[in-house]
Amino acid sequence: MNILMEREHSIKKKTDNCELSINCEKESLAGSVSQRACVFCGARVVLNPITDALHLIHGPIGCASYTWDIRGSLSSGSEIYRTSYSTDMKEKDVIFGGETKLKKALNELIPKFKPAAVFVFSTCIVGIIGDDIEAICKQAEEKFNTYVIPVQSAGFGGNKSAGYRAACDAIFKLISKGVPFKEPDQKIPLSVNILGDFNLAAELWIVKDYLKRIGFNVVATVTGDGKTKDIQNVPLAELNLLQCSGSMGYLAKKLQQELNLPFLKISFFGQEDTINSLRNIAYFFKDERIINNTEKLIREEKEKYIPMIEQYKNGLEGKRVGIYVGGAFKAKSLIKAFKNLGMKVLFVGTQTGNKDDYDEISSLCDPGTIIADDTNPVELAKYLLEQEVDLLVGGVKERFLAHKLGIGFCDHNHERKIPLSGFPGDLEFTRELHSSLQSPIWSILKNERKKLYC
Amino acid sequence: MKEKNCTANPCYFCMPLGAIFAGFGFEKTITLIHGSQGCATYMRRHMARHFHEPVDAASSSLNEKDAIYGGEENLKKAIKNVYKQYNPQMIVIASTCLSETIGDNVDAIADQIEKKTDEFDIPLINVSTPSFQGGYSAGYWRTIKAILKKTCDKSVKNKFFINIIPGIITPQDIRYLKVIGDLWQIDFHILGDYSQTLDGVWSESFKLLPDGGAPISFLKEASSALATIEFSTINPEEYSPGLFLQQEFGVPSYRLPYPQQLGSTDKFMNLLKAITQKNIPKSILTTRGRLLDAMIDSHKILFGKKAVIFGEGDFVYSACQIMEELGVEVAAIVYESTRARDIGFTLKTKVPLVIDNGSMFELEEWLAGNSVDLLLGSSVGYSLSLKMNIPLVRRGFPIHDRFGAGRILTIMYEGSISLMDDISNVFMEKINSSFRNELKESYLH
Repeated sequence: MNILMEREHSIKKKTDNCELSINCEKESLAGSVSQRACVFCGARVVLNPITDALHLIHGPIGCASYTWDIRGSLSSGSEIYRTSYSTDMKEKDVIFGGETKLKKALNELIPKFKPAAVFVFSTCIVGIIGDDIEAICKQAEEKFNTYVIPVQSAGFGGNKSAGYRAACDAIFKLISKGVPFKEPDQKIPLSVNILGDFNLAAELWIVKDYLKRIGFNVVATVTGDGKTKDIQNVPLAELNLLQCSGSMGYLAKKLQQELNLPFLKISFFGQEDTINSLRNIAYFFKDERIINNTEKLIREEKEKYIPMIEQYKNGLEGKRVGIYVGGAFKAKSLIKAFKNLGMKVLFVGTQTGNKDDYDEISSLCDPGTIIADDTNPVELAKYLLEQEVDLLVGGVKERFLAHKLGIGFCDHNHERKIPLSGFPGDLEFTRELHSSLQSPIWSILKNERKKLYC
Repeated sequence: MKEKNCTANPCYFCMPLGAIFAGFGFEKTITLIHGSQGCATYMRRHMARHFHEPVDAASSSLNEKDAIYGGEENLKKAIKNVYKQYNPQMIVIASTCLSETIGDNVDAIADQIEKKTDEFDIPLINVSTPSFQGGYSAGYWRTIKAILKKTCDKSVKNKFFINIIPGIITPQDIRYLKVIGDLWQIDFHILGDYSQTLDGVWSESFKLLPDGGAPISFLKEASSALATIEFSTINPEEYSPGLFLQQEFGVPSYRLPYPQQLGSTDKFMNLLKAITQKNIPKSILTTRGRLLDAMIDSHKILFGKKAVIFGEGDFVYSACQIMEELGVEVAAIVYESTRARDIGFTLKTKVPLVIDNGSMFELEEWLAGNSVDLLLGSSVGYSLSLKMNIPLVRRGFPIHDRFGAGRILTIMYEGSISLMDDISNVFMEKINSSFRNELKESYLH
């Protein structure tokens, strides 16, 4: 299998030296068959979990078709976010401009559904023909007295990370239109916001429950199970907890600059990171009751879950795994989780990691591990086979590649339907690995291979 | 009908997805989507979830600079890189709304590469598939036509085979088409054979481009066929590959609906009879009899039931005809078509609600005040089915919440029997699970 010359610096083998100097944060190479999506996708997946908002995509139909209900984000209230609205631009709209159609769509939708907020996404075409969505949103906002936020997400303006930034800008805009933004000193005691958890398969609710049990007030969740009003209360919290730093790091930094609101990086994937995160949050507040409650919660969770997790650890030790995920924070947590299970990580890649991320990933890996940025099916196939990997963790596109290679697969992407956060998540994760690797299919395939070589 | 300003929860996809579908129909062919990185990725994801297969399609990954100055450089780079990595026999270059709006001249670019590069001796197919001009079905037909335009040679002599252009059916259907050809003892050249490329086999040696697909030689000699049969009556004639072969090479062209249920399968069989001057094989007539027998068995459970059908135009059209035969009332149809209201007009019985912008949300609003017994279409109906508690029988694309989408047989008398059984069993299950309680509530006082 041929690796393209231009891709060679994006794939590195970990040596004893931790300096990786990998080529990353670049546009995808044309024709490489990158697994990445576009700016629009980045913005869409970040904003979509805001449940009481109407999400209107200004463009031809495809962008709305492919992202309808794309994530398994759960809602405790409104379901309006699950409908995928599109202005469905046709040739005529491309030639004469889509502004009229967008205006009409807003005039029709806002009075009918009375959403708490509207996000209007621009797409490739809109970026080219130059519809002034800022002005149209402003007009609609005034006319209907609701929040109508433009999202500058033309697909070609960079990669998914640019889309994350566009989404963060839109969220910041929403926050800045709220009353608390003007009175950020009215802090709620022992309060936090959760940034960068999207409540896939109830993961956010697991984390929120932990924080409540410890004694924190969770002001806003951005964006999982997000509600417009809560998100506007972001300035009232004392600390932002930042999970998916790739998508929400930009917002956390912006809030720190503008509102002096500090943030703490956390991750609730895997026991090690869950425990560390809980302790770090507690130490930040330096409140004895909180620290005691945190230790109590960790004890309780360990007692409850570790015996159950142990049941599924059988057969996992020594297995060889590959990781290819979107965000780097997830990769880091997964490496630690696999190490705790006695498994060997031989391939790690991310779609949007930066230089610091890769250096950290490298420091977590054993020598010999292949580390790749924005990889493609050719490279995945080559390295998964060369590294004799037994199981790949990734998203839907990687699943079937892994299966064709005769390798087990664990889903860690948007569509997952089992929660992977906190201790319950660790149990689910271990169970998932167990059923991926212990199935008789792998020994059947091994026998098939033997037959072929006879 | 009033022009709409908004479509919500569309039941169809944009044109380039159809190009990928078509590309998988030919040996060692890969499709390159000329647009933003996201387009290719989304389409791959959708097809992968439906087929449970790796679906590779490349992207020219256009960025801001290309959007302003043109995507020529990226497209050239993309073609070369795809060629290096996949070593294909053919590359389909499908445009997107972005590349069309910035006005890239793909024909000229492809020409340049073909002429100036010695190492390049494979056909580069350029097809125009901007999403503002239509859905994925249109993209499929345009692509097959573009491929034939580029690759079909002048006919040498007439040969005893028939070109079949299947449209968007299932890999199992295509495998079954070959069986039908064997029964008739005539070669079907299936121009777009994704029976294996999109429903793969596990093998020890992994191949980046899966085995299977129609040989490129089928394309070259398509001009020598006895006839071309294509399964589409809804897409505009200017997209028709069959009509192209007829106009260009004099190969008689026939456009039929999907050969499903009694009427349309009969049409297909009678056409084969006329073209080949052979009698319908006995075993096919036996299956036909079995279908009739099964129709008698389930006539009562089906009669008068109300169904909603949604999906791409040809699928909806065929499904409506099936329902007419079964005595099931079609209460509403949802689809997208550039020839908007055609389906509604062609049917014998008028469909009360025609939603021609593909909006499943409009259907949902209508269902709030109207009761139906059945949803027939792809998994885009699943949330509706759960919410409204209406059973969904899954056919069409995409079926991402079930296994085996590639293994459903939907065509010929056999496929019609399975659809009828699936629908009848939905009602059977409902009766069996509720009749005791319902009768108790009604009569036990």
